[in-house]
Amino acid sequence: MKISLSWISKYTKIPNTIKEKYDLADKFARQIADIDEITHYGEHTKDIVVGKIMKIQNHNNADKLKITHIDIGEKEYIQIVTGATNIYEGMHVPVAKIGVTLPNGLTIEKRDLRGIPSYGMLCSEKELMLSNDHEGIMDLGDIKDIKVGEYLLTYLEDLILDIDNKVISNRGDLFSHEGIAREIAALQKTEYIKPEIKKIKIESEKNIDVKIESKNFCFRYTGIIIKNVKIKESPLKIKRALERLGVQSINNIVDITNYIMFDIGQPLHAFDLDKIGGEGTTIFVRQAMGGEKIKTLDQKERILSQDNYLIATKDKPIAIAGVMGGYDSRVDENTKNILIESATFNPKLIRKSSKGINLRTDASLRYEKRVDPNKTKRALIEAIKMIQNDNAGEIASDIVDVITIKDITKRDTLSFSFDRVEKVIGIKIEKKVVRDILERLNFEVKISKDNIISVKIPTERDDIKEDVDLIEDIGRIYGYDKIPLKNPVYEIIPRKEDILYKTKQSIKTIISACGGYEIKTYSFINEDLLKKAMLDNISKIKIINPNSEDYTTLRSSLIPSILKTVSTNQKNADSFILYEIANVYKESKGEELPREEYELVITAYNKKSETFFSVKNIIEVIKEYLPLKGEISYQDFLKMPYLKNKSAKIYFNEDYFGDIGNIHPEIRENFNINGNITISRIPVNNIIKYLELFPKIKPISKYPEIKIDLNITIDNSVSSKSIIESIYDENLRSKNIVDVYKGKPLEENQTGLTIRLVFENFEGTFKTEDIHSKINKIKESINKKYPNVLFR
Amino acid sequence: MQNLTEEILKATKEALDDISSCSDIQSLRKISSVYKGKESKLYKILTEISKLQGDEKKFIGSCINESKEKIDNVLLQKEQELKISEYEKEESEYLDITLNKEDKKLGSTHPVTQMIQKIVDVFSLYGFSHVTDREIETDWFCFQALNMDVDHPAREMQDTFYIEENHILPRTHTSSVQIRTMIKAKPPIRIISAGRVYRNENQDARHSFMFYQYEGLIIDNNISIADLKSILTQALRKIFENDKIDLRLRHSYFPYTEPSFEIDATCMLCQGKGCKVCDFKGWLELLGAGMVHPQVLRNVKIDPKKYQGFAFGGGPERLIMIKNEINDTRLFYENDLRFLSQLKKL
Repeated sequence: MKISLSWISKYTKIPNTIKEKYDLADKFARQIADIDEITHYGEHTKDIVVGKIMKIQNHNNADKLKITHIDIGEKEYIQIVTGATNIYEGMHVPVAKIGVTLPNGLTIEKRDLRGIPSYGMLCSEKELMLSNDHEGIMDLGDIKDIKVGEYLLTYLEDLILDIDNKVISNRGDLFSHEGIAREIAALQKTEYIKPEIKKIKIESEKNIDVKIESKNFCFRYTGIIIKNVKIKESPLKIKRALERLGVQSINNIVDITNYIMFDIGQPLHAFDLDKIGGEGTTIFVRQAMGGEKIKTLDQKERILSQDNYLIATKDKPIAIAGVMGGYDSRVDENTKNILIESATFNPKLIRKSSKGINLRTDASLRYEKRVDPNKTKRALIEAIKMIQNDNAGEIASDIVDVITIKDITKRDTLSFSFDRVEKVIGIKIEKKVVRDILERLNFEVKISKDNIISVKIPTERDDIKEDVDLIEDIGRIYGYDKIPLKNPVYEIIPRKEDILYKTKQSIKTIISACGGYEIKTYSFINEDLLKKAMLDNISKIKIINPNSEDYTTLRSSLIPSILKTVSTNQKNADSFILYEIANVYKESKGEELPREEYELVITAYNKKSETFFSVKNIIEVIKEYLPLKGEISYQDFLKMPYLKNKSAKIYFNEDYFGDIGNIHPEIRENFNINGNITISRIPVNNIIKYLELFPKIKPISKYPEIKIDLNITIDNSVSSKSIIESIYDENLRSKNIVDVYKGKPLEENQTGLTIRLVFENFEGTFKTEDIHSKINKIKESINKKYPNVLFR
Repeated sequence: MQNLTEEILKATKEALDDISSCSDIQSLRKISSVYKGKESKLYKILTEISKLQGDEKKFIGSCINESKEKIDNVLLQKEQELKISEYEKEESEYLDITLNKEDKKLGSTHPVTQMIQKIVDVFSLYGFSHVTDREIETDWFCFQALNMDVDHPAREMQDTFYIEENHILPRTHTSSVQIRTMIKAKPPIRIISAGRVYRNENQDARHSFMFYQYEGLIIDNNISIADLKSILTQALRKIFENDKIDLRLRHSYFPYTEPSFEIDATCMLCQGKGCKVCDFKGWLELLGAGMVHPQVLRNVKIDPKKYQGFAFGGGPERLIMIKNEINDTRLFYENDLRFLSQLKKL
């Protein structure tokens, strides 16, 4: 919402210099409402001065040109030749003298126009970037006490503050210049000139018949009929005030309704009375029927639902109440008689109505935030006065005023202990300061001897519901900058460890230390991606209002996203390891909310070489580092998206732990991945289950250990892991495969393994015979289980 | 005797020849052990001395000792020579130490992970415990309990994704964690949480439909706005490792806090002088905060007459973007390794 500081000066003093104005805007943004944008109105008119046209002569050689003599406060008038048509003698105009550069870059020089020298230029508002749609020379007739020769900026300069509506979304009273002015006055500690409650004498006894059918929607409806209306251009003052806020001037009547809306905050609407049934017509305020149609002022045909409310005659809708008027009942150049409406509506129902047809207007915005019903009649009277002052029509009815809610003038009182202010803000603020702030904000304040503050709440402040709401007003106007820094004082309570978070962080550190890069992919995917990864039969939870076709489903697997990421990165690197830890979402029968489980997915990609062992190695490192208690084993094969013979389920002790496998070529093709790729997927909870919280260490023997390398040959019927597992001896400290050999002289299905056995003895040095018998026993036990194993 | 002397001379010459023809330390050590060991010729001659008498025994003995001494000296000298020549050889070898012959082995955690870790670490100094909680929420936890009734504008369809209309939704902010925590725990409460949030917004350089938030909450007997300002100032100074940062509380509106603030910090890139990043204001908007609304406390059965406190939240991406002058939030979720691999700190 836009606010003009010079408009504010109607209510309270605004500083003179532009620097002080910017300083005010800065304080405003911190203590009243954030500002999206500040516009320095008139900044392009820096060198322009005020001139007065003293004489206009025709040009002998050109019909379209006029010779003007301009008083710019210098000894002699200057002569300017112009093609403008809207000039008159005595008119005050902006003058660009020789040497002045206009906003469009043009520098004024002395010119000869068909033989007559011209020493400057008269400017239009467009040329001065004050407005977009005025071609004629700017008429400064509206400026009081204007002096020739003065800089134009003296009269025009303004700051337009575009306020962030979100910050004041609970402050309907601030959607007006009078409301904002009160806050500025409190901030500056300047006097606030309260809006005058005008009285009006009405002689007509004619009534307007208003029937409010939706009493929960319309809180108050006032209106008046004005006859013999003269539709014309608005007075300059009003036109200019609206233009500064970026509002286009339409005609005097429409401009008055807009002016009052921005000034007081009460939206008004003017109907062409003759287009809505003339005198004696009945106005209905009612809910729309589904499918009802109306063409609105923006010339769009709107199809309505029961969420919309209407102003209607007995046979047709004439406005979407509080949102936009109807096109067919609009005020135009032929209008003779009008009905002016000033009403208040239910904020929630207005929001619903305007949302339903996706139409937000300056009026609906104010109604959504709440318009105080006490303003309704005051605004109407203001409109009548402005029409009268402009000689634009005559009162032709009494003011109709229908109120459907009780006690609109009732003010609530809130009482709380003065100590609360200090307790919430954290510093002591003097009582008289608190009182002054609250009173400036229009609260009536009593502070009792036992330190109880009683505050009477004005009707426009329905946001004040409890003490903290008032403490907020005290705090922000007092200024949070005045709060000094201190050290917090509170009991020390030992932090609770979040095992899930801690484990996730440790896993990330380990994998990254092993060369993995953590990625973060979107939690939403689409079915197409699931299909590409051949995961189309897993559970799907849909977003009912997605904003893109690519992100429609909560993912139940991280694999499709990681495949996509591999695909996009392969052009920049020949090999890499990626991983992600994120939630997957699964339907859970009988539960209100889906199940969320953190999963770890690790993938290795290599353009040329095998990747399986890079991933497997990382899993082993994670196990050792965290550490996990127990043994990892690999069993069975997996289905899609894995490649059957190069994949396995991972078991931890006897339990399922996760999957690992190379990705099936068909899926690699679907994702355009050229190269080897291995993926492992492990639910993080499976890892947490085996965390060893107090890992133990053993002493080492002081006697020499014995290393024996066992060379064996196995065929494909036996896995190396199972051989290792079958080796046991009480003195065995470790058993590791140190070499794997394939090729001649071994048969194709054979593999040679070197297993290094390390024996350790705490009692004394081993005797050679002891070791021999141990080795023999080990060989025997292997052969007993796996007769095909050969020893070399 | 003549024989023995000759044999000694011969053995000595043999030894000295062997030593001088030796060209590396390993063979020198072998030779040395041969000539010093029990198998050496000199040792054998020595064993025969016992058969001799008097002067003869003395003479031969001294001859042997002399020879041994000579050999030892030559050995020592030779060893010295060979060592030096080996040092010199190794020293003369050229190694281009600027090359990287092996693949770099270090990966990295995601920048957002790193920033969250930093935030969590800093707030843990103030006794804030990390909590993890749900991403998919009910309307009550995400909105109603936070004082956003059914008609609140923030709940409008353009902001929130729904899984079940007006009921089940991916959280739009981490503030739902406040509610989940306060329902379970009794004050004093000090928590910090971070995670994914979702908004139904179109993607552009400044908006992503998914992003991260961190959220802090402290509830105790006497926590005031002064504490909010002080704790957050100290914490941000630590996060940015810059003691010159000051905070500015700007009045704002959130339904779940009262009073509410947007918090600006001194721009750490220009120290408040004004630069491109802070739009020449000298201040950067970093987080939202406020005193927890009494209605929110009542909603979770905490007595607002006894307890009060503050909550704050912000985006880790924004902190990284400011620190690194990045202006496109999409970079964080496009997962281009050329971007992600830059920040190594694990």
